[in-house]
Amino acid sequence: MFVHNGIPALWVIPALPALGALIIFLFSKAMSPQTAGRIACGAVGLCFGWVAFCSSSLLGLPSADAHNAPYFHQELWTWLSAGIVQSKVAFLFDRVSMVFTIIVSGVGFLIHLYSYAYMDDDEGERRYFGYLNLFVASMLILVTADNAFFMFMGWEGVGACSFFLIGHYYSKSENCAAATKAFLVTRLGDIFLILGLLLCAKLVGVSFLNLSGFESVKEMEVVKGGWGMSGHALLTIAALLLLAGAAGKSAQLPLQTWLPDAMAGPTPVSALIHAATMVTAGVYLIARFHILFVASGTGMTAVAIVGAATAFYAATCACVQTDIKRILAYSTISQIGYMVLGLGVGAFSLGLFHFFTHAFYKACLFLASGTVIHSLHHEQNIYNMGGLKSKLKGTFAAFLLGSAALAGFPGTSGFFSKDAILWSALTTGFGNPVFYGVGLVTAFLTAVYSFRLIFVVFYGAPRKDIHVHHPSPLLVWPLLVLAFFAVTIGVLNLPGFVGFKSLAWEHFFHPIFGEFQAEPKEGWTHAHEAIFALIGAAVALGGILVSYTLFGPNAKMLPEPAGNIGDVENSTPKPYKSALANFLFHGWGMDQLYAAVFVRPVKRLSMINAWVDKVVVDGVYELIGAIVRAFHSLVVSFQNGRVGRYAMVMLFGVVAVTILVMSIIPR
Amino acid sequence: MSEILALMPEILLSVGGTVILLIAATAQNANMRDFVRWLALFISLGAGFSLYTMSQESMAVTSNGWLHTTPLGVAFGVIFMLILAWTCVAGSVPESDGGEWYGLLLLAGLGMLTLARTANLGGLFLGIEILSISLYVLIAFAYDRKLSLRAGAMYLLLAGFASSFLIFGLALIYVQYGTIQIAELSKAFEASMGQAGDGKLPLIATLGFALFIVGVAFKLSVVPFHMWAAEVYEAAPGAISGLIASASKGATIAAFLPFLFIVQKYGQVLWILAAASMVGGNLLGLRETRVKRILAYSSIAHVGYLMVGYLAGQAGVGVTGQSSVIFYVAAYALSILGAFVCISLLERESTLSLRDLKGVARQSPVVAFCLLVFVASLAGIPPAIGFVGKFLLFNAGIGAKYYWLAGIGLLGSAIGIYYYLRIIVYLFMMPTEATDVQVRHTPLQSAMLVASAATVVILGCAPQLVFDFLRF
Repeated sequence: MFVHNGIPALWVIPALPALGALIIFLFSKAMSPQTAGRIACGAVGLCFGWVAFCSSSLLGLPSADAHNAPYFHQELWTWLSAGIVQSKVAFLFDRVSMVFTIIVSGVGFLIHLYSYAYMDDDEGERRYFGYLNLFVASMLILVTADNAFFMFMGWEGVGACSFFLIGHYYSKSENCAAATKAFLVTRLGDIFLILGLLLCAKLVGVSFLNLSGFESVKEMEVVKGGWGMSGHALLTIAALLLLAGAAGKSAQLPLQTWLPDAMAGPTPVSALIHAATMVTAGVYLIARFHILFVASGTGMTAVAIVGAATAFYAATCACVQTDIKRILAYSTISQIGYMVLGLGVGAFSLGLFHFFTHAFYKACLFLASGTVIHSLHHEQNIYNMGGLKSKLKGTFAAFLLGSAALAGFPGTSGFFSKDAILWSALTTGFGNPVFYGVGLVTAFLTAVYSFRLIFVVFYGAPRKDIHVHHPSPLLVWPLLVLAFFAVTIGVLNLPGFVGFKSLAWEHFFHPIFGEFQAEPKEGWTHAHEAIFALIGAAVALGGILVSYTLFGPNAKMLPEPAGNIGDVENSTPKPYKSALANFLFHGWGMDQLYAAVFVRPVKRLSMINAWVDKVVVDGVYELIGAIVRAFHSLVVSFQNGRVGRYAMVMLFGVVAVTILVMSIIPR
Repeated sequence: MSEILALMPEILLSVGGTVILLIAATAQNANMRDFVRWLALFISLGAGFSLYTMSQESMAVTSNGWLHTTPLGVAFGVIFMLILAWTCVAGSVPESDGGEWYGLLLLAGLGMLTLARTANLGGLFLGIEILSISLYVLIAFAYDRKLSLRAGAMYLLLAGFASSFLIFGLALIYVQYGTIQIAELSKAFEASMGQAGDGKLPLIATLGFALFIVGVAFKLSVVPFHMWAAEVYEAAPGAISGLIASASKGATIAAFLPFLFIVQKYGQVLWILAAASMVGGNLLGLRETRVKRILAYSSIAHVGYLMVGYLAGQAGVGVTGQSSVIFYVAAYALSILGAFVCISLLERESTLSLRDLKGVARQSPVVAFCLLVFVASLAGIPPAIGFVGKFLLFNAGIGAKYYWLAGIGLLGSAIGIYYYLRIIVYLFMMPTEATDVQVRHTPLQSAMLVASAATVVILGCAPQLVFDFLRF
């Protein structure tokens, strides 16, 4: 049942956490919160074990040739069969799925363990673990589904779980507003996504997302034009629709506004959903549909532009935030921007590599910030922290290593993955110097804001007299595991000039992305690559240096706040004296812009609609109701319970039928 | 021998019914009542089984052409026997019972079976009368209650009135065609219509069929012959109300199905009756507060839906009107009988009104939930079987180009949702009050209810099972 012909059962992967969620929800009243936590951890732990087994089985298969990667495929039953929408409940486990499932279940497992300690005194712990397990199950469906419509089920599942978990502390109305915002904005992306999928189904005409399905797009003449457009134009539209879907889920411009607010959820949730896994679903989507984007051409450019712009935008915002989690949130947006940029310049495997490294160091950072917040009794403003280095030693170590990876400190995983993307942005056929320049500036900003965190939070004197309570071991050692990987995992893809090609990540993914993976153009050599790597290292170190001078323990140049910056809330209109800083603090005012352009007009429209509904529509139905009631009173008045009356009515019926028959039947 | 075998179901029922009545007359104690109940259950199941195992070719016509075995008749007969068995087990029997209850039930079953298998007009009339006479007694069974007795008397009087039209109509038909065999009647009718179907119908036949329709319409409680339904359903014991609504009506429609040939002439009349029932029944139920009357009015509307399928006859997309009628009889019986059995568990001295349902969900979640399923099925809400049934009927109606009638049916259903939902609202969504309703049920009854509710949902999801089982 679980292993058939050497192929491990793939349905078990999402089924285990789904089972955990089911048990927790069904019996939540009968179990203690601790039991729920243990079940959840156990389910995800088993799941990780099974994923490891599947992965080792996959790696054990001989690689056929450079163009065909081995994969597992399992079909269970037909789910939908309606015209162009054909979907089977079927799983695909190839190298891309493998990487994603390892992160989802592995990092997910560590975060579950962490949550067990973090949520210890929380009332909603059972609910929390139920949704967390459900999230993992949905996410695993997303990345192992063989078919786009089945994948969409996981896609919506993670969105729903994200909504529930952001709104975990639902007693505060702003948390609910944040959850609603996250849900609605990502839903907007989902609408584009489903349109894109339907268009793909229409154009390609087969069940797609499996290895065989999209092959046919390679021959462009397969795609017929329609609606007055050529096949190629339609492909581009489909690609742009998918990009919009990916942007919604991955918080890319212009649908990025929900992610900073989503930090209202518990911190482990931010680590799992809003850093390591769900928000990278867009990256997964684009990587899966790479053939479509490459075939379109314009689609690739759009992806790269969105990625570069988002990376830069979010990095600038991250530099001036005061809430530790919002800094990390903007940083996540920015880093996903890098991944998308990598995909957009054709370096698909490098986009995935950055996802892989990012999952470790960003999860590490979020969990470490969670430990800080937990130890400081839910203080999140970095200007109320300070001098924590000696008090939270393990956490500091993890935070430092994570920040180093984020900043791209030479030798850490972030350095290798980011640098490779920047290199591709400059050298591949889809790249150009502008992308490279924007990426480099962003790298500089990244180094600045990541070490701003270190200096403000852990160095200097404590700014407020806050009691620091000692975190339990479970709140520290998962950080150290993640930090270890954050630093070392870069060895999986050392740059070409180092010379270990056989281990390389790119080589591993070459059979999957095949000829679509863009290689450096003629004329760019390993020597160039080494020089640009040095430039990248210099920029990162320079950023750290600038950060030290601005925010370091000896710095006198703290940005002058308008009031006491320790009291600044995220809704504060003007925390800084500088207008530019305030502009960046509010995310370039995009929330306000959207409120003015979309939200308020829609609300006004809905008020008009509500009035129409109340007066006109309801009025019509009230009228119908009144008429029907009047008829009811009429017919029921005959029903007086007297045999004589009833016999009379019957007699009337007989006469009526007879007359009717005599008049309509010809004789 | 084969003729005896062919009559086995009827023999079982009539002998069994008589024996039970005799036992009841001699011994009266609790043990006997239990024994008699199981006996009745096995007899009805046995009758159903012997019917089910009959094959068509071995016994085409038996007993001088009175009863015959057709796939249609077998399907209906099996449905009725299952209903009967279910009534034997599940219904709450009035205190006054000395065992006669089960004897009368079996005799009523004999009437139904006769109607399902009759080959001629005489059998039809006999079946109706056997059924009705048992029902008069069963309706008035709680004879210490005035309401009950009154309802029994009312049904007796009005049914007699209707029977006189029926028998007169049948007589006129015999006068015109000189035969009481339905098959020959059909041939003669078709012949007189001619190839184009524009033949003239003689006056005697015209009147004969019209009165025949009136008689059938009374048994089916079609508007405007529906007046008795509310009082009878309200006062009869719950299980009997369910039996009248399900099996008695089903048997009448089973006997009426062989007369499909008259649709080409009487289609318009039946059309009007169907429309009047669908609209009238639902209108009547709209603001009713007494639960059993609501179900009575709902049953009037459901007969209207059934007639849409009847009118479609052999036409229809995929499933013919005739098949949809059989399916609907089964689906409707399952739902209405379950609903009435639930109600019978809640009965008390005065009439059960909607307000009394408030505390039920708390007192007995099982009964409340089963009632919810049955009512949802009656309302035609998926995934309950009632939805599929209604869908097939209207589907057949539309296939036969009765667009307006299907439209009226949908309109009627929409009105009906109002009172069905009211039951559900009162069951689950009202603040509970102190109520003097006591929910009493044996483990067997609740198990049967749950099984029946589960069947409603399962068959609603897999309706093909019904067709497979009934083999049509």
